[in-house]
Amino acid sequence: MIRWFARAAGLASGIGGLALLAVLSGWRYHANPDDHALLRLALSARPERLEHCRQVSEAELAEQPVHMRQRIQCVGKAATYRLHVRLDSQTITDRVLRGGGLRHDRPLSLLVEHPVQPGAHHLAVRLERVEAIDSNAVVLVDSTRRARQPPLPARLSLGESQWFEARRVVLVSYDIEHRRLVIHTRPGTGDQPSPTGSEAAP
Amino acid sequence: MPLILESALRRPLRVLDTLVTRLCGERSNPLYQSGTIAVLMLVVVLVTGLWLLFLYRIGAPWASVAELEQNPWLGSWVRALHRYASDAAIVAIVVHLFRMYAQGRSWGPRVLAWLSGIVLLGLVLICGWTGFVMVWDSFGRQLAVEGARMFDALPFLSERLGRTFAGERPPPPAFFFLNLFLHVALPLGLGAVFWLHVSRVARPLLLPPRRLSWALLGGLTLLAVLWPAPLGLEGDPFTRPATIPADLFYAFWLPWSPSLSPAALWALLGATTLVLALVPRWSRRAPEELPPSVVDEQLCTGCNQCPVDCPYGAISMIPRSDGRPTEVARVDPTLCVSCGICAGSCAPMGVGPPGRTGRDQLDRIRAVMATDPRAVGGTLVISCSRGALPPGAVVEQAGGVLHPVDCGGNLHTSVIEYALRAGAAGVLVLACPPRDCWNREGPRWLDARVYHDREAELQARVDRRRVRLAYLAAGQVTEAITVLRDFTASLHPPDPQADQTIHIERECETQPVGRGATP
Repeated sequence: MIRWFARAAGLASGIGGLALLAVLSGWRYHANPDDHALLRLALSARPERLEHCRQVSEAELAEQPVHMRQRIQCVGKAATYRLHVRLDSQTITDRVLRGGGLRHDRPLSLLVEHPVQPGAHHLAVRLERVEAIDSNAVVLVDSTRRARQPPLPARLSLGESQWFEARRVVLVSYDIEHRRLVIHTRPGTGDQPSPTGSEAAP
Repeated sequence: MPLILESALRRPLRVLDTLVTRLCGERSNPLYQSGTIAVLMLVVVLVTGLWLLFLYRIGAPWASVAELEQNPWLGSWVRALHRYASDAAIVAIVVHLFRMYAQGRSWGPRVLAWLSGIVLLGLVLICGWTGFVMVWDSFGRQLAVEGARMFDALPFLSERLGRTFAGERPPPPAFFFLNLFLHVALPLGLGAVFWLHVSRVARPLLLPPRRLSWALLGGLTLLAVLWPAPLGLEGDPFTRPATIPADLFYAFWLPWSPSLSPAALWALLGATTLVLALVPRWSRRAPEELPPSVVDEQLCTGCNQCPVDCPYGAISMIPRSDGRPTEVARVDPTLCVSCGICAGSCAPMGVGPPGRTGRDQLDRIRAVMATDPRAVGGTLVISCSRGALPPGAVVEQAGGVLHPVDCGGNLHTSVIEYALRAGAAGVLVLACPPRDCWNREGPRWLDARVYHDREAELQARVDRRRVRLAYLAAGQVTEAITVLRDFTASLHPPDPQADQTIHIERECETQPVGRGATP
């Protein structure tokens, strides 16, 4: 009798174990307990390359082996950009972006998210090259076969009123083809340049 | 900390073992089968996964799974079985890990099995991760985003992976192809590591007993039919879902990981792995506590039984150097776990761990029979100290005399014979259940030696009615006493004529172990 009772209890605990397995396998956890909207900035673009070039003198050239004689020598680096994002009157991001990789010569990549109270807000995004161009520097837009995309313009900006819906994401990204900042609010949107507020300076 | 943690965990494990044995019976106790259940579950995952592979489309991952869910015959329940079996595999692996650690079977010669087990657990978790991402529901997307966040923190990636899921464009099919490739390729690596995991075991048991296997398969299939696996909404980068149905067996960390920085997550992952890998080393036994077996070359007859019996393949036969025509056994100390099974397999008692050879066992039983008057005419209870070791006083009340031994499986049959010839009315050997023997094959070989003439067999002249073997798990003290009472009641007075025909001292003479013992 006791043995049968134990076996019944064993069967019941087995069923309980399976039920627990199923419950824990599909446990609904609160991923986003608040109702905030989200502003997401995501872009990737090649930074401009800044090169400082000088004419090499004849005397210097003569010191070089024949196969290394170049009349113009350039020393360059990838440009850095200042990202400034304002929501209404509040600055939510102000930072300098560098290209990826150890030498920072890889495409610049950005992914930041910021919670926003639902409702209408004025969004202003500005992306400007930090380095000024003086008379001795030459900004080269690399048009060789290595360049698969045009570099970022020296200045990008976007400013417009945007409705932030609760639990929805507003994405600001960079349209490489049109060289503009664009806003996406659902999949597939934003492939066209934003109709308002976006401008690029060469 | 040495041994404190290990022994502290051993106590609750014994309680749990006892409870589950009472509920399910010793043969179907899933806790004894944790390793084999994990293998069975992974086989189920493999078989169901092959079927699901045909129905999955990398071009429309979520849609193909949603279509699958609409098919009640060969769709939804197969997917649910795939998922529940993979969950059960994690449970079984974690129980196995806990069990091996608490039982002290995790370091020394078992270090390869322990470390490869940790790697296996990691691989199964990663494999599960890729599987959930394949579905691309809200849970799969969240896993992908968290994974990308961690990888983006590494300095060698110039492009941010996270941008793939930012919403500028749908994740490319190449991503899902790579994910599918990993989900299929990782189990191949799993197989290689599993081979390493069991490589030091001579005869690994891969599957649970048939009855338990069918019960598990039936239960999981029924669950899969009645309770389909959850499928969240399609992963949408523009939505912040309030709740996400997460599989906590694989993503137990997901609810709190977004609040931690990637660096903290990496540090936590590294620390957890390190602790898991090295905890047995910190709490290991001192090497001198469990010295490997040694072979007395003078006694070894080259019968080749100990290499066959050794559960860890630690003994081999090599040519002798003393000119005798036979081979001689040689123990590899790096493989020997000091289980002592070889001590019970050697008829001339020439092999075994120091202090636990057949001759040492005979010395001890000789002392018991000589000094304890209750042993003569009573029932001698030889009990494995890791099994159902009843308290001595309780055994005494039931008419027995307790003689605890290190392992029932390495008991030399001469000990049984000696005890009977020295006057014990009967010998009851309490060994561990076959699937829970700390030394793997102890009960199996003991049974064969007592009843099936396996070397070193219990001599035919010994009255088998006066010997009984019982396989009881830790905590089954009541059952042990019941067996003892039944056995004692069944015993007849020994036939003095029969015993007088054998000269006990000559048959079971204890010789000093000669010098020249080789490890």
